[in-house]
Amino acid sequence: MRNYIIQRILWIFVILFSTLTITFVLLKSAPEYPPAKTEDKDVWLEQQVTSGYYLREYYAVDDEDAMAEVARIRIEYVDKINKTVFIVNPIQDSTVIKVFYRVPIVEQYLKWGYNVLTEWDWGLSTRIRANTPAFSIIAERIPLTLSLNMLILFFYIPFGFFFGILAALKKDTVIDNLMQVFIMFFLSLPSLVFILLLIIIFSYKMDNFLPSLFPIIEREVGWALAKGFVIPVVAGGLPAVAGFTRMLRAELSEVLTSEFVLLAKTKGLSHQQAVLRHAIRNSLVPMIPIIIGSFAGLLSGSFILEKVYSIPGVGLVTLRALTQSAYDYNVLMSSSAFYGVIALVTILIVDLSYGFIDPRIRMGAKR
Amino acid sequence: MENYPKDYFKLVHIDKEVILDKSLKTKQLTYFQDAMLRFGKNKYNVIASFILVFLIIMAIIVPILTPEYLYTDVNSNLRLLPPRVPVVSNFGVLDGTKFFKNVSVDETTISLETGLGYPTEDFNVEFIDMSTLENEIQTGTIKDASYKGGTNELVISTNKISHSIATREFVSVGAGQTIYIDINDLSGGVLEAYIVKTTATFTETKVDIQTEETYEVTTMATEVGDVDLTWGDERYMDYLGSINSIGMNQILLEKSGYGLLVFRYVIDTPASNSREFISLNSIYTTSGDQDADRIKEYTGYELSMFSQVSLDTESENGNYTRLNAKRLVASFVYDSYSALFDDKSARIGGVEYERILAENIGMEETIQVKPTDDKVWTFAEGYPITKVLGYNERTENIDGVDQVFRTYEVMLDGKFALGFDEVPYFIFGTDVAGRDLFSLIWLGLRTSLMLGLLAAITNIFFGIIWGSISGYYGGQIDILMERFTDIWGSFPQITMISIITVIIGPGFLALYIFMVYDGWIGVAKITRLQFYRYRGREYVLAARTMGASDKRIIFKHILPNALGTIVTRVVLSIPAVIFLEVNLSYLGFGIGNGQKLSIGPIELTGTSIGVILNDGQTQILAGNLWLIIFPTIIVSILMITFNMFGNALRDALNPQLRGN
Repeated sequence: MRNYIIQRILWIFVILFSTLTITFVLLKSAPEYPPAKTEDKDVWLEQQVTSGYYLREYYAVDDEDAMAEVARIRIEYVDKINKTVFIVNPIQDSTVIKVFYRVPIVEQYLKWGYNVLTEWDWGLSTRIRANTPAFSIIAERIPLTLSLNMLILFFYIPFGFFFGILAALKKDTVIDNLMQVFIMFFLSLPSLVFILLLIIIFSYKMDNFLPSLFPIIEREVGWALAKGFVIPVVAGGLPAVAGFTRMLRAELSEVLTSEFVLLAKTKGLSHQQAVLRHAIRNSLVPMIPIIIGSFAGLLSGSFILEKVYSIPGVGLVTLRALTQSAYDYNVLMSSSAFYGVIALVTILIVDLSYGFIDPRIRMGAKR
Repeated sequence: MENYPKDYFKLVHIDKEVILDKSLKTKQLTYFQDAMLRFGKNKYNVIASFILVFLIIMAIIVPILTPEYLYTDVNSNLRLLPPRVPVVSNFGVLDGTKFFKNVSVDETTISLETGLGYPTEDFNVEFIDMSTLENEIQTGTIKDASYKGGTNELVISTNKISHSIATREFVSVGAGQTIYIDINDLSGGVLEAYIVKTTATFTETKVDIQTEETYEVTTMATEVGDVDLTWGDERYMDYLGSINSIGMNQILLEKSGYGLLVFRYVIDTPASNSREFISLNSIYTTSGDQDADRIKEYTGYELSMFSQVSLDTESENGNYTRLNAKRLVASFVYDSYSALFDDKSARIGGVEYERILAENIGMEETIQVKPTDDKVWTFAEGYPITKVLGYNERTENIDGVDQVFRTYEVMLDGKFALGFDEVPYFIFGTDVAGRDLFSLIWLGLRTSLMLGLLAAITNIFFGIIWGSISGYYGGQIDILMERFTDIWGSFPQITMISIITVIIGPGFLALYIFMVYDGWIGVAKITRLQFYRYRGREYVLAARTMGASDKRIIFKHILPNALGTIVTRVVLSIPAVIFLEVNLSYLGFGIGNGQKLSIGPIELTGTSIGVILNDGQTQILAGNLWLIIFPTIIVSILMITFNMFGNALRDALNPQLRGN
């Protein structure tokens, strides 16, 4: 068991390492998009030199040879200027022209790995908020994104249980058929459409009963802020309720036909007692990993919610970092790491939970 | 052996009867017929499949049959027309009327009888359905001229001691005048009034007032030349007076001045919370007592438009908000089509009139002059001008020749001007760019379906090859291939989106790659499983003993058996792919308006359901709901029927359900 867990955790690191490596190499081979303002750009490039991603050369303005050299560089690197080679003209009192060259990708990668591992330095943001540590931009939004997803989780589980049990108990009746239709409907619709419909109903039709956009956190408190969560939580939760109901129904109806339920009934328990005391507990076994696993799924679905409802979470900032021709690579790397870790850890917990919940499953057993 | 003589053996079967296979009493079914039988078992699934086919046919036919300009040309005249459906519109639904909500009322139109007013800007009163007109007073904090009255609150931020507001234009005040300040409420500080003079120095350095719109810290002027500016610096400003009580206050002016009128709310100790405020009703100046003619008056909107200023950002900051401002809004049903296609009155010159007559042959013959007034005549339907209401004549002497110039008062035909013979029926309405939403949706659906199909085919192709190799050979190869799919599959989606967007940019290719980069893994997994099941079967062994190659065994013997499960899986994956397309296009990483892709004779446009939804979302709060509702309905039906069709196919291709 212990070996299995260690093996799995190592495997997580292997996967994370490979994805981040591929991402780094592909993103950092593309043209750079430094901060837009000249001052910020200068600070940013200087910081890149300190971190080891760039090389810097000085050319004095009053030296003719140096100027000729700069002119030559402009011609030689004409394709790369403002992509991987940057020439910064003198700022304020300075009398030097600075030329920055990006170092080869392998060297960058090694430096980057060293910086991340030793100092947790994921680089500076370029476009989202110039010269702010990229990881802190992601980190400060993590609580909002996670709390939104936890709320969706807390919303959908009770409803899912209720409808799932109801559907299994009333199997093949009108209620069940009706619920099947609803499940089909909710599963077939993108959550994008849901949130739009909810905005139409609760915001437009009901005169801003609920806000049409997420309230600005700094300005609103208490009730006004809480109202902002209703639409995204419901929109994200409804498809999850439908999916959960369908799975619980299938699981529970299978358990209901098993022999121990029959035995319970022959002992004299009523149908309801048999279901509540024996069947439900057994049908829970496969459901708990599903609940844990749904967290990662909800998280990746929250992009849409955050975008449509302008929720300033990790998803929205990642999308902003992907604005065309204003890419913010370091923020993208940080958010990739965040989503990657969450997804992989969730998968690990799901796999381990099978063993803890169901004693019949032995972890890492050899075939 | 030789103990038995030859005649020891006798033929038992001596009669002429020959035993043959008896033909079956029941009718024999081919595999396909059998599948069809199971397909038809669940009536709902069959109906769903028919609807699906109908949708697909519509997606192919509608863009072909509709004139192309209706869904490609941007026509701002036709923008945002509500749905109008023939026949149904006679019953009052989908009749091209649109419900407008919260439109500012033009107060001159308020009727004495009903007490209701309506807007005149952008609306023609003729087409407002007066029975639905309702007025309402809205309270808001918006700094807009349509909001009237209200108070304006100047709040000092925590740890600051003052905050100030200033007029946006230079004001002149004279000695003997009085400034009246009506204070609604205040927290205990003092309101000081200054006039910041426009001395030579000042105009040169230009008082730099940053507006609230930039949300920057507002600074007026922290220094002039080398001098640090402080409040009450007599070289640059005059102190006018101060007040500290609720109600109407007055400051009598002793000196004249010209410059910015500044009011500074100041407290003794730094604010410990953000409840240090002053609430202003109005500010005005008169030349005498309170009731005298007001020289300058600032209330409501004008007062809210004061700019926030500070001399020292260390100790001065805060915010300035408008509260309880009211505006009268109307909600009503408006006949958008009639208003748009109504005849419009215009005045055109004689030259233009003659040109129109010359260009439209036969137009002149349809003139019917009004019997009572020979200056008024009408034309028949279908010409640019429907009616001439009259004309003016003037005579000018040019080069010694008297020439007569006419100016006609005419009614221009609304339908003709927009290029229609009849008032058109846009059954799903039109979008922001004035394109027909009905054909746009089918066009988008065609793109979505086509991309979904392409992605599905690619996924099958790679998935089957990968899965069959992995499943057929097993062992080390299988483990290696499995680990690879593990790593590949756990690549976060957003990471992939980032990489592809950065490297190739949004477009058809990017969208296609998003759809297939990990889509094949599912097919590969299921194929691998099927191969594990079948590769140990006797018939495979038999084929192998007879020398069949691996390729032959995979594609001729195992795959056909596994195909049912795989096909079902793939069909059920198409809705998921379309889902993805909608989401990605919505987020802006897929395709967008104006892009084009040609695959042989088929040309796909960049309009997809996701793009339409993205365009429509901005219109929700404006009440143009059809832009969201119709695409939603169509895409839901598509998804639901696709899923049901997939289920029916699964039943049909599962031979185990035979005879059930």
